[in-house]
Amino acid sequence: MTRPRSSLLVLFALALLAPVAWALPTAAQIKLAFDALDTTRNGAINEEEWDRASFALFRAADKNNNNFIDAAELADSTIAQDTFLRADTDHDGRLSVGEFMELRRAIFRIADIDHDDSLNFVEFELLIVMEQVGWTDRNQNGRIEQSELRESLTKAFEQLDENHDRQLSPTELGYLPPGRFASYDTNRDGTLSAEEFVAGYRTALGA
Amino acid sequence: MKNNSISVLLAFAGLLAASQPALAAAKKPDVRATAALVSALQAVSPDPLGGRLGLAATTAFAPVLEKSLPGRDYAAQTQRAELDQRSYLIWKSSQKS
Repeated sequence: MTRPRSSLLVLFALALLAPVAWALPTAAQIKLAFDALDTTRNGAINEEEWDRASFALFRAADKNNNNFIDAAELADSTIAQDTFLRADTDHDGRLSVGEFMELRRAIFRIADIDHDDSLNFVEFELLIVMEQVGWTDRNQNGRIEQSELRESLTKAFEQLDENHDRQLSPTELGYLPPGRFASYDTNRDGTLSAEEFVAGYRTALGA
Repeated sequence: MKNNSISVLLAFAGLLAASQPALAAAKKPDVRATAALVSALQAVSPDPLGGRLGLAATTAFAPVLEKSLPGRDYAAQTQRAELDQRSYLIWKSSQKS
């Protein structure tokens, strides 16, 4: 079953504009996940490590062990179900390993902001954030270009600003290690403005 | 000579029997490590399809069945999918304890 492109775009926009659906993980949880992925312990997740982790996720999702992910095996959320429909490129009503891996590699490419075919810790952290807040691919090339980075980070800021006071508190940024929060907070007022948030990440990414 | 051969065989059998628990234990860390990996990932990323990022990623997708789309290398994509399937099955069998 296919959906008209216009309805898909509406769903995509809604997915971006809707508030954060679940609580962001803690800094410790993100570190644990990164270390679990980085099996070579070189401080970066390469494509092979990403693929192996993706296999593990596929296996975990394939509850009936038939080497396919059925819609019923996924969370009952609009976003997951709509992603499923889009990723099911042969429209057979289930995700094969190939379809799943194509999606996972597309996610890897988006998160690989410096285009070095690996994810450093900050890129991985941003991937986790973007899974909740979304992002905008202006030129629709499946990559966050340097020119798009500011816009993507600004959008993340707006989504994370739960009380809409145009500042991010340590509570709103609970996933950020305290040391990095302090380094981003250049005016030492205990909160991050959009400029501080964007500048902090750009420095951390070497952008 | 015959007694020596029997002794060697018995020693070998003994070694083989003694090594089974060690071999079984050697296989287990892969399964445990994978379970720990999945648990750690699911704590930070509950949706294996990537949440809103995954949904955004699919905007670049087009159905495999649309072979005639310009710029789409259908053959390469199919080959890649088959390779992934084979690699996954090999990985999956390596996880069995």
